[in-house]
Amino acid sequence: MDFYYIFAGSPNTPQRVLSRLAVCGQLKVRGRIAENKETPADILQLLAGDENWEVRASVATNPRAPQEVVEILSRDENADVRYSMAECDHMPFHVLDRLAQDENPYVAERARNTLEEVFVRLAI
Amino acid sequence: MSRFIEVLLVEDSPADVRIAEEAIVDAGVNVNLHVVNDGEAAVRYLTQQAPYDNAATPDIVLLDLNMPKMNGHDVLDEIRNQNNMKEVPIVLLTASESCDDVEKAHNLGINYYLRKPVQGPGLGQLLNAVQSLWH
Repeated sequence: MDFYYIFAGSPNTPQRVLSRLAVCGQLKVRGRIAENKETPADILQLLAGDENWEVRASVATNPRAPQEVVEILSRDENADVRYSMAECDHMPFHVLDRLAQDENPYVAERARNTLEEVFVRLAI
Repeated sequence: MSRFIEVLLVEDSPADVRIAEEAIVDAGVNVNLHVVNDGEAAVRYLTQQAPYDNAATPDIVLLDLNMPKMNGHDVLDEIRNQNNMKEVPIVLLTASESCDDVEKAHNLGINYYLRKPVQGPGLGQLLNAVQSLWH
């Protein structure tokens, strides 16, 4: 049983415990914290600089990610991070709009589709 | 040598207390085990009311779900709002197959749940993880 992984994903884990887990060195634990909807902004900010793109992508798509982190990650060098954001319908419009003009055609196409879905939903 | 972990076991069944004690021995973890037998006593212990005026805040609480007087949910509801109890790890012990029971306990702030009967290796890993992360 990997309790570090379990606690990393729990909404009831105290912030100071998440802080310790965030620097524990296990990739899957950091990724789980990055996905946790209760992870506070300062820890997400720390994980936004993670060496692993999957962790950065999880931060980028976490609704609690601070705006400045979203801005930085929307220009991430790794196209998979940008693609994850392009899929995400809670991204700010201006971020999706920028991603719709991304140099990577897959990212751009995905962002255009997400924008279209959001507009359709808003029209309903 | 690592310090002893202060464990509060809230359990009304003597047989389950014995199983938990054996599991702790099997786990090979240094534990000071304190036992109370119902939910009301648990609340008094954790809020340091008589006869538990001098009780230290435990490092971890193992909380049975089904108990007389106050069940585990009621205890959680009562103690999670206490300042000294907001961050203490609480593990629900349950034989219940009901997902609702566990979900309700999660919503009330448990950190994990263990199915009864409690097993030594799982409990040992849990206690060690809590000890290294919370303390």
